[in-house]
Formats: sequence, C-alpha cells, structure tokens
Amino acid sequence: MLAAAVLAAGVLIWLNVQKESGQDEVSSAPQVVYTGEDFVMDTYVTQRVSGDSGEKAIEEVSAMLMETEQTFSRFRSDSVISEINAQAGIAPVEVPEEVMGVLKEGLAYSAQSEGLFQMTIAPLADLWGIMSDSPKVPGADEISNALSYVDDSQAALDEEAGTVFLPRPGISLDLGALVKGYAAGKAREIYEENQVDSALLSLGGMIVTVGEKPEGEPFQIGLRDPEGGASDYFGILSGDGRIISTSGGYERYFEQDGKRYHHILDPRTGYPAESGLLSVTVLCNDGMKADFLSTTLYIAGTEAVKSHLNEPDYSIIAVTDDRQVLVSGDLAEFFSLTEDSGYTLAE
Amino acid sequence: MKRFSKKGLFALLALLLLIAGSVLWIFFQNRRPDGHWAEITYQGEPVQQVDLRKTGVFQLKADPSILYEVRDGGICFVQADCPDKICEQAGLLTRVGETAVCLPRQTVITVISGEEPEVDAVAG
Repeated sequence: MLAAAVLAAGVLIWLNVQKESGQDEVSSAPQVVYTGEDFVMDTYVTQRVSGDSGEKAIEEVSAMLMETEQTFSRFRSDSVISEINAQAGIAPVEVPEEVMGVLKEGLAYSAQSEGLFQMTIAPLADLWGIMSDSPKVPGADEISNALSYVDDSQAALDEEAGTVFLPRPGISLDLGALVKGYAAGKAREIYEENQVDSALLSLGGMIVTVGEKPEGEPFQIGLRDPEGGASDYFGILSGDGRIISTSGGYERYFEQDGKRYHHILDPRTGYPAESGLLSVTVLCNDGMKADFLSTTLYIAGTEAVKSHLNEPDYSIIAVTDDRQVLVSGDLAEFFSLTEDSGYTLAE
Repeated sequence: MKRFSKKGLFALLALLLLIAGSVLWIFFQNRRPDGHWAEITYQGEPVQQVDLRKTGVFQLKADPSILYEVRDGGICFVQADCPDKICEQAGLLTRVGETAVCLPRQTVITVISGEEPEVDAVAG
C-alpha cells in the first residue's frame, strides 16, 4: 500500500516536472516550443522555435542580433559603420568581410534604384531628427545642403585592400533600411542549420518562418492595417515561407502644424515620401533584398508597384491611400483580405 | 474476500487524497487564468497580471512613468514618459498574443488569455 502511494506520488511529480519544462499546452502537439525575446536593433524581437535544437537556435539568433547591432549601428560609437563615418574625408577604414559584403550589396541596390535608395542618407535623417526627442521640419536650404552629402556613388570600396572610404567629411552611412533584413536572413540560416522543426521570428515587424506551426498547420501571418493599431491587420498570408518585410509611414512619424511627417525620406527630394501608398509588403527569400524593396517601392509609389507585381524573385502586397490593395498574382492562393478590413482588392 | 482493517481503510483514503491533491495541483499550476487577462513585463520579467474584464486607468509602482488603461475587454498604453510615444499609438489589445511595447521603458503588454488569435504574428 505504502509502496503504491510512493509510486503514484513519484509518477505525478515526474509528470508535473515534464509540464514545467516549457511544454506547450496544445494537447495535439507533443512538441516543445521554446521562446525568446530581445530588445535589440531599436526594436522588440520575439522567437518561437520547436525542435531538438530549438533552445540552441534561439540563443544563436539572439547572439547574432547583438553582434549585428554592434557592427552595423551608426548609433553605437564602437561599431564598424561609426568608424567609417568618423573617418570620412580622412582615411580608408579596414572592415571585416561581412561588412564589405553588406555594403557591396547595398551599393548595387542604390546603383539600380534611380536615386530612391541611398545608404548615405544619414545627414538628411539627422536633420529631420525623426528618431530623436525633438524632430522638426527643416528649412528648404537646410534640406538642400544635407542632400549634397547624400550620394552613395562617392563611397569607395576596395575589396582587395578590404577598406571602405567616404571621401568627404559629412558623408555618413545609415544602414537602417537594410540591416533588419540582413539579420532576418541570417536568422533563417541559423534555424535551418539547427534543423529546427518550426520557427517564427518577429523582428520589428519583419517576419521569418521555417516549416509549419508545431500543430502541423501553415503559419498565419496578419499584415498590419496601416490605419489601425499595432495588432490590427487587414489581411492574412497563409503558408508562404518567404521572409516578409513591410514598410509604411505609420511606423514612425511626428506632427507639426497639423501635418504628419513620417520617417521614410525620399532621397531625391529630402522630404518624407508622398507616393500614394500607405504600406508595402514584400516577400522574398533574400531578407536584405526584402527590406530594401519594401522601403524603395514605398518611396517609388503606386505605379512602380504595379509595374513590379510579377517579378520572378519577389512578391508584393501594397495598400494605396485610396484603400486599394495591390497583390502579386502568385500570392492569390496565399492571401486573403479580412472581412471588415475596409479595403478592396484592386483588379 | 479479505476485509480491510481500519488502518488499511485510512491508508487507502490517504492515498486517494494524495492522488487527487496532486492531480489538482498540476492542473492549477499550468492553467492560464480564466477569462481575459493581460500580462505586463519589464525587462522580460512579468510584473503584473491584469484582468481585462475591469475598467480603469492605473500605473505600476515598479514604473509610475507609464499609465495603462483597461476598457472594452482590452488594455493599452495611455501615456508613457518616453520620447517616441510609439507605445501609445499601438491601440487597444484584446486578443490572445497581441502585444504592445514601450521600447525605451523595456515594457511589454501581452494579452495572455481570452479570445483565441486568428494569426500567429503581424507583419509591419
């Protein structure tokens, strides 16, 4: 009798310990779901990963995010980018291969973007101060002056020497439009190397998924309603496994004299882009490309989006300011508008 | 059939109570609270669970620089002492999994029980 009681108690305690080890409450899925959260790259990052190496993958992604910020953030005085900016007009800076790779790709993007994308946008961004405590609308002369420093073609990359040189003092790099996408791509590599069963990463609104949900169904990803709150969505993407990047003026803005000024500056004009779009979402297997495209297409505008809807290596969902939703043809089976979205699919 | 002695009966009762107690303990350990609840975390650590069926405006002793409001089955940041006010713009959270973040204050509100979510994450 006593032996039976001890055995019963032992079994019950063992079961309880199993449950407390982080097991998801979904009874149909025996998978353990590991979670992680970080405050990094000026944003909130969450991970949900299942698989034997889930915990390891989460730690590796967290470490990668910290390292990426440490290397690429111009707001960290010890970063490689800050060093390049500090040496503008003075001397070339030796950079790690990783940085050379990102800058080389970034320059290729700006060369083909017809002025819509510039990594040397920092002086203009600082002038507006949208990320600071005291953003303001600059004068036309100030903007014109800042624009004279915005020119990626002046950045000199010497791959053989492994150096980067900005030839004029005042020219300054800001990789904000690329680095989250770059990190998202690296995160996906880490998940795949660790052979996780399932992963969902939210990196300041960029989404990476691997596999299906632990319950065995495709991930359902809402697309943020540009006119709603952070958790409101106007449509749902189901089961498309590519990296998702969304850009929109609603993300960061300030108001002055009754007018709203958002953070996505048009390098051609020096002002926040007014392109007839509320948001652009790009799906692409290359994270950095998705990040670059969502920003650049947002600036480029409705007609540019329409003419790029059927590119072979990426897909688009864009919302215009007259509440039309433009969707690439290949997404038709993966995307649906919510019933009460208030938007309509464009023909 | 062997008759149980008083001692045996008591032992059996004790065993049954032990089993029942353990089952109930495990059950309540891992259950989410009933109804609609949100959790506020600071630097990743939970500091407060909030009943979303109530109505009101409140601050937490741990960080009085943030004002929260609970209404209409949801919760939101009303006012935060931070430079960018992105958290205040996040709106009312009502569904499980919805979150709003005040980055400078490292504070996150998450709805942890209630209406089940339709989506796993929101892009954008």
